[in-house]
Amino acid sequence: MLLRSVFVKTIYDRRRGVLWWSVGISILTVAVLSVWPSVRDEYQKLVQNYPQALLAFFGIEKGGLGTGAGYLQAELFGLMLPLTLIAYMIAAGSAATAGEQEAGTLEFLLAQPVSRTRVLLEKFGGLCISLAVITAVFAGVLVVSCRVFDIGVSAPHLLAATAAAYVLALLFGAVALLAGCLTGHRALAAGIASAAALTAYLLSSLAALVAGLKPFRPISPFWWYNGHDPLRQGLEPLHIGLLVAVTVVCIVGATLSFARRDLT
Amino acid sequence: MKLVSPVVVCEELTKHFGSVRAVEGLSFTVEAGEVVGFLGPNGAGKTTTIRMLLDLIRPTRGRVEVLGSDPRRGGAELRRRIGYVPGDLAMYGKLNGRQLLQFIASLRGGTPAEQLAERVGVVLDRPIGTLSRGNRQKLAIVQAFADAPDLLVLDEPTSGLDPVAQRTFRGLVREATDRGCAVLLSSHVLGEVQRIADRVAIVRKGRLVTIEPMRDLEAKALRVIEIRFGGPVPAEAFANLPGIRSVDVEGDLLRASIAGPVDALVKAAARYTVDSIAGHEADLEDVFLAYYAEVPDAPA
Repeated sequence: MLLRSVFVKTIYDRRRGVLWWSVGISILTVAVLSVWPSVRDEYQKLVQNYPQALLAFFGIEKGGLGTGAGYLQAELFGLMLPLTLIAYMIAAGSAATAGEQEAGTLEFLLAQPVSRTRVLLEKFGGLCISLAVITAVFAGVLVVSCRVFDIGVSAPHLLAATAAAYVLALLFGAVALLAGCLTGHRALAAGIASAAALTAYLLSSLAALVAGLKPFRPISPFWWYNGHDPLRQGLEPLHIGLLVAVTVVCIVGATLSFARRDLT
Repeated sequence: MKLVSPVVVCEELTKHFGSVRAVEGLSFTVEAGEVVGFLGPNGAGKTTTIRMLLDLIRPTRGRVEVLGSDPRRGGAELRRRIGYVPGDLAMYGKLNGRQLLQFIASLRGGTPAEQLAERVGVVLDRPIGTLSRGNRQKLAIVQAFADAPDLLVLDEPTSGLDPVAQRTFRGLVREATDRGCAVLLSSHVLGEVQRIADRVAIVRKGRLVTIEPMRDLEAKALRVIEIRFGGPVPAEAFANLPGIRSVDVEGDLLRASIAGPVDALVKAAARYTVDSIAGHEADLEDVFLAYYAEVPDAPA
């Protein structure tokens, strides 16, 4: 592969990670969906006996109780898929500048005739592509598996929910990148972004149980991701727009901070 | 393109990291076609100064100008004209040399320096992380010299190089200066800069101790000369020669430390049968000692 830019190199550097994350998420998806035909009837009875609070916390009432969509939401889209994609992006985003700074290679890169803003944007662009590959592999496996195992959710709705998860992961990748530019420490950046993701998840989930939290639910990225039940309703432009907007704000912030900092 | 001269100007350049005064009021220039050796012990502020030239860090105070522009304003276009060998050789260990040169060439808008790599003897097909320090150093040199820069900033460029590669390196520096390239070569070893520097800037604790022609500096440096004679010689015959700081005679072996020309010592020795003469390079430590005596610590 010709490393003709920071963008291409970012994708090249991620190739093994992309492969393994794609394999992992595919196995997970097939494993979760393959049991659906055998648990379909039991599952319906099971969730009806769950306490209401539990259903609400895990968002199981979304997608319809006991339906294939409900099962997908509970087992995959509620936590597993966003968690996986977010974990990948936080690892990649915190490594992008802070990781290179710790490794000492950032000095070498920035001594070349390329502006810091460009380095940062190309790196983030490369991460977006690498995440897109993982997400596309997942989407392909998902659509086929849903048909094979008779989940009963249309491909457009599957793709809508997957796209929402993709944008959610971009946002936390951007948070990790921003934290990396501000602190210069990879592990610290990953920790900050993980804490932000956990807070957003808990805010969205707990708000279903705790009345006092409900007014704050609309500020959680997790709520923007699946508050509108994309598996049944498709994409909600306002929520996707909010995810993209916060991502852009983080990237602008990262660019400004990166352009200013001393590299020592 | 006509070069702006001087190529590097630092005026009262100062960089503090919190309470640490890494560089304090540093002023010097590097002219086109000139090699300036940038000498000082580790932690003297050499790398910090170099990083300011490349806009990797920004000065707290003072002015730095490279090829007529402020490094920050000059940005990527300015860095296109600078070749840089970093002091700590962190260079994408998972790529191989060919990939690295190709990546750098893409960023610089040139072609990969494979011819130069062949001349320097760089291993191109193995991951950089698996190369010896010397081979990584060669690769760093090749990428810095690759597209005929107007300024070369070399941070300890020959550490780990074998003598053959060192000679090739000196050849490359000479060719660069012949076409007007300015070179700033940092080192903590005098030997590394002695053969190629036209002028030497000595820094200590972030301050410039002196900047002067290599020749003048060498004249002040202490040199240790060892002469083995055909038979025992009297120590008194060498005691009061000009420039001699100390003489030690054990049987037929004389060891003298001397500042400046060794002419008088050689002529004195010529009266006896001389089996061999060995000269040890002036130790930077000794040069510093000479300066420490003259320059008191600046008040912090």
